[in-house]
Amino acid sequence: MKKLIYILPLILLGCNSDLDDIDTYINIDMDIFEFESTVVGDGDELIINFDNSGRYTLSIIDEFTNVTYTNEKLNVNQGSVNLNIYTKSLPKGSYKFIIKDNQDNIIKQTKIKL
Amino acid sequence: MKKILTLVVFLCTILSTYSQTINISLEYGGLLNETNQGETTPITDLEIGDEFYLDVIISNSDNSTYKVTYADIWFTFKNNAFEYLGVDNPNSNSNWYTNQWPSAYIFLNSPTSNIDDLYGQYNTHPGWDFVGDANSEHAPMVISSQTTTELNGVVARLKFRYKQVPNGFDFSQSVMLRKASVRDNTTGYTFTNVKAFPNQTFDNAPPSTTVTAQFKVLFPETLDPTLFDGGLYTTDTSTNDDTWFQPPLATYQKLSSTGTLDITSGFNRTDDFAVIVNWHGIKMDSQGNEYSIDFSEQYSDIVTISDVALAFAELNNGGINQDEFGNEFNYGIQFMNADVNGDELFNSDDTYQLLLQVIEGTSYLEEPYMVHASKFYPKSEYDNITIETVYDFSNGTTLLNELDNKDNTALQFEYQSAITWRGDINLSHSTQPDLTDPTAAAIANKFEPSYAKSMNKDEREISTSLVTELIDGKVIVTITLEPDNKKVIGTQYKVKFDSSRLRFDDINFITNNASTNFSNLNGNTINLGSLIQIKNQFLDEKTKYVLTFTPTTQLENTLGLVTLLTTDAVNVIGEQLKMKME
Repeated sequence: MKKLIYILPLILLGCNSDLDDIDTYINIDMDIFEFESTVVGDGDELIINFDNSGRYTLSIIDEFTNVTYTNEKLNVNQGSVNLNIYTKSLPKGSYKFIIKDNQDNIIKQTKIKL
Repeated sequence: MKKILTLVVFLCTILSTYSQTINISLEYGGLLNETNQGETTPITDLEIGDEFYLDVIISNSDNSTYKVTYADIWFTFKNNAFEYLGVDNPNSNSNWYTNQWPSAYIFLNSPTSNIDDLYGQYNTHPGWDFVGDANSEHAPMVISSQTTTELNGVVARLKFRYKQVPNGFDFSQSVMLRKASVRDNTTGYTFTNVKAFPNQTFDNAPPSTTVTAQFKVLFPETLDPTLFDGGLYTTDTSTNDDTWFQPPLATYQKLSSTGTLDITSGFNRTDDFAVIVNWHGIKMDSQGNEYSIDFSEQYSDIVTISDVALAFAELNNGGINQDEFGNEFNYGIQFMNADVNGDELFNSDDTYQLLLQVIEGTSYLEEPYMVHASKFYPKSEYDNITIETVYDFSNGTTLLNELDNKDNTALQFEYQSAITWRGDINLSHSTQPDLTDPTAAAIANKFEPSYAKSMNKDEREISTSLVTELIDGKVIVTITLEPDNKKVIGTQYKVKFDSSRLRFDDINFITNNASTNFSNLNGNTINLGSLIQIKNQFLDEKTKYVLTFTPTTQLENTLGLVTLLTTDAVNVIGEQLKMKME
């Protein structure tokens, strides 16, 4: 299973302000919500850790206009879950990636860039 | 003692001759034919076509010992700027020989002498380099004279005529002293200190070549000006050929983020000009990569269900005798835009075409290009279009903005152009008219159909959402509407799906029975929605659109496979509503 996860080098952020805008990617098995911002490509596999089993809503929201382009509802089991993200139908841009529980509470949030 | 005195006199003589300086300067000397005898037209009034003197002035710092009786002076002049008409002799007892060469040479400056050291340049410059006409803008020219009396003061009057040049032409160094040999032939003495001073060059630019011109399209906030490009064009009026082409030096570029275009280069106050504005369609993503947007995609955002609903409202609200108009439209330009078939009449033929455009996706545009959809008007003209004056104005689509540029007293030209669109009935993507007629303006301001231009935005917002699920091997997409008692009579959604992984199967409309529902598939985009034309019937909170797709590859989840690109909605009085996508 090939995973291409692009991340901001958060460790460097605190050390050197010149590196604030640098995007890079790593090939490791980490929860995407561990990163503040991630560059994703079409079909990339994301790893998400769920504390509880249940029904969740995953939303992709334009970071600047707050327009929700899509929501996916799915049932997941507790633990690490592998999901794919498909970007061909999304305009290029920067998005908030949010997970809500079945009470509509936001339980995870990060940023993704296409 | 006598020897010492002789030595002192000798040294003084040497020093005095050593410091003897000849200055040669260029000075504007007035028109060849002054209108008012005895007066000199100011240099700032010189214009294209004027014939004028450029005087050559020789001054000798000490003419008690040596006098200038011979001069061989070389110049260059810009062949594109001037026509050289010869030289006049202000002194009766001397003649000037003159010659010019084609502008195919470049003067090679001496590596050991300053540029203003005309003696040094004369004796040590490497020569003239032949580079051909295309690579040289300067023509070499020489005047020579030998006389028995002194050459002093204005010794020669060069005659030039300004040629027509493009706006912005560079007149610097348009005439320049290059080198000179100056002698006192009565004693055989050659002056070695010959300077170009105070004026080595003549740089005057006629005001008409320095005008500035800026063009601005008054884009509404719903359009991104950087998606358009344009440039200055001219036409040949001597022929009947209505072909527009770019004049020399004119540029073609993307419009600025405020919709402006600098058209100074190539502009003048004599030729016929227009600015052509067209669809550019190139954007840059967050990674800095360019991608393109077809004009038809933009146009599908301009003409939507809210335009159709407003057109139907106007058509149906003609009063008891069906002979009233303007009960729903409040601007003349709305009638013009609603006349989509261009027969100078807004009627059911037009609403039918509009309905097909939105519902069937069958466009009335002859071809999917901006030239068939856009209209431009000078701002002042646009603001004079009222419902009563509609037929006084051209209603054809165009990219052309003809310019009024013949005011030869103006140096700064600023053009403002309104943009509007065939079919943009609620003016959502058009310049907002600012009617000059106060009565018409007062009526127009009572109703604002476009959401973007409305003042009561909060009252005109409703919610909608799109949810995807993987159910029994199918991707099910549910679009829900929360009309919030806003008396919604029309909705439109543009849904995009990943056609490399999904195949569209069908759509189930869950709406009340009064609505006309529509959907059409165009590549990987589905246009869908509803329109109610029955009085007191509205789309309620039970409204749902359920789309079914079949995966063509193995899928475990659906994130991002189907997205909501744009939405539109309209209420019963024809107000465009904003659908918040949640």
